[in-house]
Amino acid sequence: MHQLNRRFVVLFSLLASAGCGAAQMNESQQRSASYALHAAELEGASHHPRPARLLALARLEMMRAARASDDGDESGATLLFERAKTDAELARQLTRTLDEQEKTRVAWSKLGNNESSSPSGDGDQEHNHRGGTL
Amino acid sequence: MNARIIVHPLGALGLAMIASACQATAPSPELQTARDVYLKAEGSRAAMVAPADLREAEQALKSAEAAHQRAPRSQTERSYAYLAMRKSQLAMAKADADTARAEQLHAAQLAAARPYVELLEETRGELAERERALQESERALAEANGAREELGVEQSGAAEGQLTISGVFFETESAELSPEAQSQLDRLADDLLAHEDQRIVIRGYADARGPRRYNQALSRERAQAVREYLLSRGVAEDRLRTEALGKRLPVARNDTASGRANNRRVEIVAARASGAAADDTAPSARRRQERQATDQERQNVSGKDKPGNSPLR
Repeated sequence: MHQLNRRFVVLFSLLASAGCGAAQMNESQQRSASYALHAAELEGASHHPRPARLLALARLEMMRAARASDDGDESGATLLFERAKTDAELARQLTRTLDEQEKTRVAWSKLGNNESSSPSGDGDQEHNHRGGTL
Repeated sequence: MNARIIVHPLGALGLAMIASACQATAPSPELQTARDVYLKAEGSRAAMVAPADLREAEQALKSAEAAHQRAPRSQTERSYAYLAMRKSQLAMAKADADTARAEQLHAAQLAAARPYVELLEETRGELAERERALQESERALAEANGAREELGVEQSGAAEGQLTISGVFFETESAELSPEAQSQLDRLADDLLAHEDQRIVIRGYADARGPRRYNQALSRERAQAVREYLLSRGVAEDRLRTEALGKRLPVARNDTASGRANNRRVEIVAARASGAAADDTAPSARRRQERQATDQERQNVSGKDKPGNSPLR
């Protein structure tokens, strides 16, 4: 009987530590996703249509991830936090890209050369064409 | 009789099972899209600019494929496929930003180079203009030379109103007038007799061989020979003035026989009616040289440098 109790304790400890580990990982991912969201906002993602949509989607995924975590679906929460983080990073990068393209357009127009080969306007149109799921 | 298609119940069941199996193993739309976007990113500059992001996309795509193998169309497959697509897009966005930055650099370099380009274009324009002017001058010179060869008389464009008679040439070490030279001088004498107020300057030259003093004396003798001939044709003495320029002011190269023959000459410059000394080209430097030559001639008036003393001419 004593032997059985010891085994139960060990098994319980392992399960508890695994659960704590998953929870800690999700907490880390949540922080990481939050940081990515904040960085995208600081970059001005909300001032461009597509990055703004990505930002909104990332917030939504953060909420869904938190809910999944509350429901005990740690693996689902992990993936949702990862999606939120990736969407926020993409929003930030698209904002940077659009800003760079705008600077390029201004530089060419200052030169009086409007025949720039640089893509102008919303540089993410191409991406939407193939992979947009927003 | 109407044709009827009879479907066996077992066959229908088999078809339904096959269709169900196909649907179950077909990738989700998310996975298919992720594959397409990843392939597109892999074939673009993103592979060079953002290889780390592309590796993450590849890893997510593999996870999606694995999830598809375990449980087709599961939420896990869709989530990993979504991540693969987004990470591929992230890599392409970075590549686009990199392209934009490169273009900015290009534009900045062009802007920096613009003043130089404009200067270069202006210089090219000026050069083209000068080239045209030069060609025009060469054409005019060629025409003038043609006329000179044909007639032996040239009206200088550089000094209006001056007349230069050429075609009076001499043999080596000789001041003797050839028949052709006499013919030229006959025409000149007629002109001078017809225009009695016209004064002329007779300039003698030599080629570059031999001592300077000797050439100076020889050129003086050549000028004197022309003067004597014109006097013999009745031209008044006070209308004629001689100058000896030696080997100075060659009209041709002295390193060829034909060039030297052209330099052994007498030129006759008709001054204006006012009597001012004439110059066929009129640069101030040339006038200075001529004044010096005249001074030199005066110094040599004693005649101690006789051509006959030289072994060369």
